[in-house]
Amino acid sequence: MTDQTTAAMSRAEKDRVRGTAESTAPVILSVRDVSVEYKTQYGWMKAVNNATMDIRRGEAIALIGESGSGKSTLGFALLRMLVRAARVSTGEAIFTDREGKSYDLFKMSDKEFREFRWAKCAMTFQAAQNVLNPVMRISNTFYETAAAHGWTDKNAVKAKTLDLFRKVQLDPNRVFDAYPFELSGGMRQRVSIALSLLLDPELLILDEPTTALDIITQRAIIDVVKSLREQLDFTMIFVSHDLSLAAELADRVATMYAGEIVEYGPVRDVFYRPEHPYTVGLLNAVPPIVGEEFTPLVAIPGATPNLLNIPSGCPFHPRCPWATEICSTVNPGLRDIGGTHIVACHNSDKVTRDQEVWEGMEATSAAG
Amino acid sequence: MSSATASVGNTQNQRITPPPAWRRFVSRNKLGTFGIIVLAAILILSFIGPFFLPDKNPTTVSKIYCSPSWENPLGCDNRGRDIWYQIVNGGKKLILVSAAAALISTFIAITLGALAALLGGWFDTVILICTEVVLTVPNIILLGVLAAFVTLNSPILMVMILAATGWPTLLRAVRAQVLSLKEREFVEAARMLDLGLPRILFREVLPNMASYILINFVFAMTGAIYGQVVLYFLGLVSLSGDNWGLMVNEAYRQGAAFSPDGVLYLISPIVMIVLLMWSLTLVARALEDVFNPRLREA
Amino acid sequence: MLQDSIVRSEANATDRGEPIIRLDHIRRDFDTRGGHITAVDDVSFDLFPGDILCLVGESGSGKTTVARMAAGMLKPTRGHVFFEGKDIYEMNKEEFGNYRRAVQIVHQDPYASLNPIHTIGDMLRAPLLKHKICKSRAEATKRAGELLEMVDCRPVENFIDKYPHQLSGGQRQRISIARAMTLNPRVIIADESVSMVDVSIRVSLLNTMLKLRNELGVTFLFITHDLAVVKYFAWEGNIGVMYVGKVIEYGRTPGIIGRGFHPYTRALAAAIPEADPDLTRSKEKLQLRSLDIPKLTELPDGCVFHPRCPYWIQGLCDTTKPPLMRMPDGRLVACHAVQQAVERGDDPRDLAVTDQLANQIMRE
Repeated sequence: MTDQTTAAMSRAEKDRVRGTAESTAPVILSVRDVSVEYKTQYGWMKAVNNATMDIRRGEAIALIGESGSGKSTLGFALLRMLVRAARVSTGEAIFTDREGKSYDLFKMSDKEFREFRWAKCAMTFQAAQNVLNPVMRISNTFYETAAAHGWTDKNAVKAKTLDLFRKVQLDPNRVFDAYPFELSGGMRQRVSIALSLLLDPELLILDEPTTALDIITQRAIIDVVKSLREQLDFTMIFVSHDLSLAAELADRVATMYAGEIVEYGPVRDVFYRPEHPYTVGLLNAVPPIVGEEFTPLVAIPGATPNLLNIPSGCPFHPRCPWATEICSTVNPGLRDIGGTHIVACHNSDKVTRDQEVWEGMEATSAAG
Repeated sequence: MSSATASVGNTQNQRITPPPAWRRFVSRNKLGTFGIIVLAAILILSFIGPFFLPDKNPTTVSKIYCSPSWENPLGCDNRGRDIWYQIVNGGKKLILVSAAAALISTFIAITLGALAALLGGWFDTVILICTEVVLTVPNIILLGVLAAFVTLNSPILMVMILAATGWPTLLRAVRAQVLSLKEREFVEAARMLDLGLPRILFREVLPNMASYILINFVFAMTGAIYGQVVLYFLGLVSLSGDNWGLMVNEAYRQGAAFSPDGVLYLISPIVMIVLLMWSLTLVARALEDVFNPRLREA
Repeated sequence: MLQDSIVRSEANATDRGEPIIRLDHIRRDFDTRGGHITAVDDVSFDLFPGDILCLVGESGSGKTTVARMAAGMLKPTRGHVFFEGKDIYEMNKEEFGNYRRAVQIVHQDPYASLNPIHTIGDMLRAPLLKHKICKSRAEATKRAGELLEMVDCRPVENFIDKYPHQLSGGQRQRISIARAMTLNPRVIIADESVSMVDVSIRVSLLNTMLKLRNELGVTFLFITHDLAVVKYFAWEGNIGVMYVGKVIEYGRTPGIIGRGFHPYTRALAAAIPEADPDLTRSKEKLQLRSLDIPKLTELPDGCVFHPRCPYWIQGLCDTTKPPLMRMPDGRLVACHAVQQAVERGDDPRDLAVTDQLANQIMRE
């Protein structure tokens, strides 16, 4: 199968941006129709609705969406770290490791899963300071994590840890015996990334890795993640509300809206040839910073829906300038639009980056 | 091969209508609902019940410590008087005095506590010192000493004494609450809009503490009940008439505890007092939900 | 003093009459558990009617402290805040009342800034009635409706009787703006007002504020850490870049965002990822010597940025504080290296990284 858009690209461009072409690597994680619900006083609230995606070995996947899009819930669900009031109601997620052994993430026993988690698949959280025990030296956190997975050779753990610290650009000697409070937010975030890589996981999930950090610290985290991916062999899923982070780090981008994946494709396809109106709207709302030209921006009208009250049909239709009659009744579902780019939109062939389409809408319903 | 399969258009986006507010309250607060029922029962018994009783509860020698019967549901006391009659009659004054005492001490605590927090400076310091002083003296001893000097023969005096000892704990709580609310952005916005101290205090700050204040009012009430019962039990009050506290005192002094026939005489008022305090506490906890604006949606 | 010339010359150059707000060498100290800190040190600027001034900086830069001093919510340890030419701490009660009502804040957190127990209508009516802008409740309700329309909350009936928790974050932020507008203020201080709002809503919120400025002449002091927001909102205004309590670069927005002179401004612009894969991956990076913002309790001598600056000049930057100096294009920059480059006639962005520095690895 050929993708004409990628075929037109120069070799150099391809090298620069990985993952534009179809990856032929084996699938490491196959997510099928996963739905997650939260128990609320009004009943079960669907936070993730039939999420379906394949993640190939070695890729970096960005889950992008605004608050309430279900992006973090999906990430947490995959590692069975949902809060007590949440449950995976449908679907399955199959992880296939290097040796070809498959694991059904939602069917494993708790004991099996504890062994699996961290060893095969690790996670870094948004609030790194909450993960590191404040009264425990960093070194002990690493020793304990290793010991919990049967690795008791302290010298080996230390050697591995110091190596990881160097890889995340931390001063090993200063950090190893420090307490979390002695480190800055950016350093703690890097410690927690190092911690998640301690057991050489094959899949790393990062939840909002740069949120709430200062700009220059964010840049350091981005650079660290980039260099780690060059040096180590792991697949990465990161969850973020920040499109530019996806542009920086991802090979593939999945846009989520109201609990559904509405677009999934190679990063350059999604950013330069977005097919879902919501992705277009997001891109229109994020201004470029470099350059001395002014870029007019257009907002998406309306507000993100309440998950207890998701619009019928396509959840985005009330805010969509291309919406037609069918959109309010039939949920389009993800479909192939050529290559590896898939989108959930009835009218994706009409979708353009043209900003004027949105301006007419904004006048009628601006309050978001 | 596409890397994802198309999902079928789903139909699970039906609208969810929330159940009515009272249903949600009941399902979220089973204990609270129970507390409300018990409290309501006690209140009906104590305030409406007496109208259905005969005027007098005669002393009948033949009925001393008689067992429960249709005529005397809880049996009779050491003088052959009906215990049920005393239970029905014995709650009203206790509850009214406690409520009045709690009302006064809550009022003192809110006014002084909120002002201390909002004004700060020397006013705050003076109020705090007064609070500390009252707090360091144990309530019961204070009550006892006061009762020894003052002849406690009027309910109003009783209210005053209970109120005088009840306010410090709540005052400190109110002050802390207001101090933290004062820093909240909506209070700052009200200051920027120059809405004035009274509006900021009574419309912005205090309503946000309504649940807190109400809960503390209920706790102040349980404190006042406890204080009264202790005063009665220790015999520091020369009040007569039917009263659960007085009943416990009488029963204890008459040795009801040691007479198997007198057990009901001692147990009945204690059960009533415990039920009253417990139901008040349950109600206080449940009230928090009522004051949560999210529950007022419907 | 060179610094004295800054604000004044700015005022003379533009000749726009009297500033509404003038911050005159304000400084604010705090005693914290970690020790004595100077959160804001010697900041001066003028805010003229219709201006948009954005203060940009990272955490600990003192931008919010400046905003609170400009709003009269915090008293400067040193320096003066002037409102229409009068020191706000020397005003009589009536004058201070006028100032208080003319300057309003829109806070960051749309969940904390609205009192949960009042309806939107109550919130908007209270100041209107209190300050006798409206004579009756009915009149106040009508005015509240107009204010809601002004901030694009339409139809008004969907908002006026609602409680804050029934609205989305973006809608609440609009209510905050409407409330700030009740007293017809001349200045709105927006403290990170859009940073907690989703991307898709952010632009329309900024558009609403721009409308207030363009149609009603409201002056904006906008506090943010987000250069992208600044670029959009303050395109016709000025930016002050703050770093640990000091303004290090100040000037017209296009020049500062597109071509910052101060190494810190340039580092910020270079560090921000762009929502464009090719652009962001090929963006020129600026290597700093250290990632850490210095602790406010132990600020370095000389230029506060020198321990991180790749262009620092030994013996100068670590001993002498650089004053804010006017550049040929009118902007103000506090940097010895930039100053020297300009004096040499070089492009101030063409600074040389010494070999010794280039070899240093960015490390904490």
